[in-house]
Amino acid sequence: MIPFGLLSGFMDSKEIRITELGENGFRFRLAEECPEPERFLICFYDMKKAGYRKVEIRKFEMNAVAGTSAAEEWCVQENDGSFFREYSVRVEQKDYMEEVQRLAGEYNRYIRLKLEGDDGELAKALTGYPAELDEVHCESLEEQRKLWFGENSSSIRQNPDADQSVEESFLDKETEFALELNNTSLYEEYLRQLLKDFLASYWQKNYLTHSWLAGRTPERFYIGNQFCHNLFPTEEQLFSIMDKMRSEGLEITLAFSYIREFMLPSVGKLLEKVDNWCCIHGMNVEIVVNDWAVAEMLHGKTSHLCPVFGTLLNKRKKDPRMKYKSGDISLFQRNSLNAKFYRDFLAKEFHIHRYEWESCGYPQEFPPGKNSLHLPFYQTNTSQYCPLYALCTTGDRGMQQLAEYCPKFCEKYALLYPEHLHMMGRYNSLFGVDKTFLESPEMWKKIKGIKPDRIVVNL
Amino acid sequence: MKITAGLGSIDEYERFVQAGADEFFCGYVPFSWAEKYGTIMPLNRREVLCYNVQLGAYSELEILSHMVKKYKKPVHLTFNSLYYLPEQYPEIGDIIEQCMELGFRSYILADPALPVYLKNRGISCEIHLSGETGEVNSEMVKMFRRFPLKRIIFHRKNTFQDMQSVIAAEREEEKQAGIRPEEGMEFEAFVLNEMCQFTGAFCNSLHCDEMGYLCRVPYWLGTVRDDDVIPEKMRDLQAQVWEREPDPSAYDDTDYLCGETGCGLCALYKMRQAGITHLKLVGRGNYVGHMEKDIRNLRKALDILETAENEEGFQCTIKRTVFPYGCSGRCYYR
Repeated sequence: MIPFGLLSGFMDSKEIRITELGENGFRFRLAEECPEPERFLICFYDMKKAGYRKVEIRKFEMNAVAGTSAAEEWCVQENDGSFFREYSVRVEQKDYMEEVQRLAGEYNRYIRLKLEGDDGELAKALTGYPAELDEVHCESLEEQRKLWFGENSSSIRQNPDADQSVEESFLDKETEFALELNNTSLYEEYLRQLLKDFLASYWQKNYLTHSWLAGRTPERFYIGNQFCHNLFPTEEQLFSIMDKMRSEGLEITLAFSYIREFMLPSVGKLLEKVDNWCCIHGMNVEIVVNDWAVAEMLHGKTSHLCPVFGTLLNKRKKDPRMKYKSGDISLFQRNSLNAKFYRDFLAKEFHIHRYEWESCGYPQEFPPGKNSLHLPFYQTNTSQYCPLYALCTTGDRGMQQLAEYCPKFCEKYALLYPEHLHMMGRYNSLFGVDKTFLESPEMWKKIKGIKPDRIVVNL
Repeated sequence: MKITAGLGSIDEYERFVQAGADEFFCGYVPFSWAEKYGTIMPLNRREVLCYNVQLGAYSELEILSHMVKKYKKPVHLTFNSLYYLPEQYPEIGDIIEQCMELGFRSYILADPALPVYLKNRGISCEIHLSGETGEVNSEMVKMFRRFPLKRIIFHRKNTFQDMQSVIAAEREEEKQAGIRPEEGMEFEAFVLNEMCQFTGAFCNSLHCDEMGYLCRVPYWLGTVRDDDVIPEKMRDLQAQVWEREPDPSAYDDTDYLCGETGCGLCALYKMRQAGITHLKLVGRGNYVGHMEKDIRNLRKALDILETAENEEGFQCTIKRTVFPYGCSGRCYYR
């Protein structure tokens, strides 16, 4: 049976399932006895245009198929095992026949490609995906970063022809600027160095000292990792970092990831301590919520802790192969947060007014409210059972289990991907890199509607 | 524990009932949705058109509703995309109302905005929280108590201890609220097939006809810094992976091996102890014969569980009867 997604039909206004298809007609089935229809509308999927071609049929001959009704007086019988009656429709119509031939050809080709080739070959045949480049990759993340961001990369250095006004307004602080401290090395480096030295080293290690973003000192830091529960700083580290940030006049956002059941008591206690710290120092701290548990646990805390809607809850399709996707990809521009009723729910129930977004290679329509845009990396896949841990300990990324003790393999190892895809595997997640705003600050001006009021760099 | 099996077509319903399934889940995507949104904004997580993984056509739901009336094995409809567009919520509300007219009362949802919308609109269907929703913990369950929740489906990456703790917390809540045990929350866990390397709720990459999954794109273990090296031991481990493939004799003459892509049969003893009430058997779109064998094997394992005296004895019997020539080693629960 051809899948309904490829071949749909209507009998007058009733949606029907076509169970057999031929050049001279088709069969369908119904739960009840069929009235005398005036017309059929058959919808054939066209993979090339990623849409349907419809054929209207008004001249046809229809008969009940023998064997699907126990008797001439057929009806749904609860006891005799007959649940439907099948009908055959004979059609002699050129456009119908042509569409049947086309669909059969396309579907056969698809099945052949699935059976005979691998995913790369299938994608190449259907979308032009350059499967031959899938074997080209770097040997280290450092080499990869050099390619992405280094001065020899496409155009990250300032382009003399580019519109400088975005950079100027950025330097004039119209938009808040933040950096993520999201792993152990960064926590340690930040604690070890003066802010100025830390920043110099941060941009230099990422080959981005020439970037327009590097010209400004961040006003805010995010502490913690949104995607891996093992990368949150130790309590001692956390309060040392917060104390140092306070002394440096920096604003603070704490990024929590998903919270495993066994972590609930410790996270609850930590939130209380952070709340106390805020009360003592008269500071507010944002809490990035990536688990509904954190949103619930913030009930009863003081208004010093401000919840923010995190990336793992703020869903969106993200994939470095998006340019090969067929169909109306403008639909990707919005998500559930563009629905007012949902924003109202988050505001009323959890006092959430800020949302975390990622720059992910295509235009997005940001909703009313406060919006932070993380760049240049965007998350595509995450697993609570660390795939890198599985690969390093068993040789097989699929042999996963909870890493009760995390030896931080991610400090030394990473997953490298085909260079043309611009993606990487770090700790328990996969990320794409979107260099749009790094390369072309003027793209900021092209964001339609509401613009993010904060940039968060996540190198 | 009841068997909840995936249904790719109504033609499978009776066959799977005979094999031992207690209930089903399936997708229904009307043409109007497929035409407008294609595989860009799908209605559920089977984001493809080229496979028989959705029922398709309202007329099929009508037939299925007659089957359900006869066999009394309910079907839950899956509307579990991770998010929808603002204009899609009213459309889903309309679809659900139409399905409810046929007697389909339970819906598997993953986008938290959808139960908010349904509640605002006054649609009182039964909600099963999809395994694609996000992390499951007892505080998260508290958040979703705002909605008419009947079941929570654990995602694929849970320990027994965590599941047990979540269930125990819920039972305590129910006790305090005076809810009778038979009306309490149901808890479903994955038991066979399609173990993913990443977590559904956090998997935002494309699943479509024209490209494979992003997680299956070739990758290489590398170092973070240029001057680091991959230890020989790690390289050896990777080289040995091929040796861990199941023995060819473990497959039957139809090339079937129970749990080839993910298996939790050995874990049934502990799952029952944790308080799991339903077992998810995924595999919509798999060979129907293989799905039928999966259901029969799971039923057999549950029968063995009924008489098992202890976990060790249970696992020994499972290995002897269901996996006499070895298993896939693709354990959901380690």
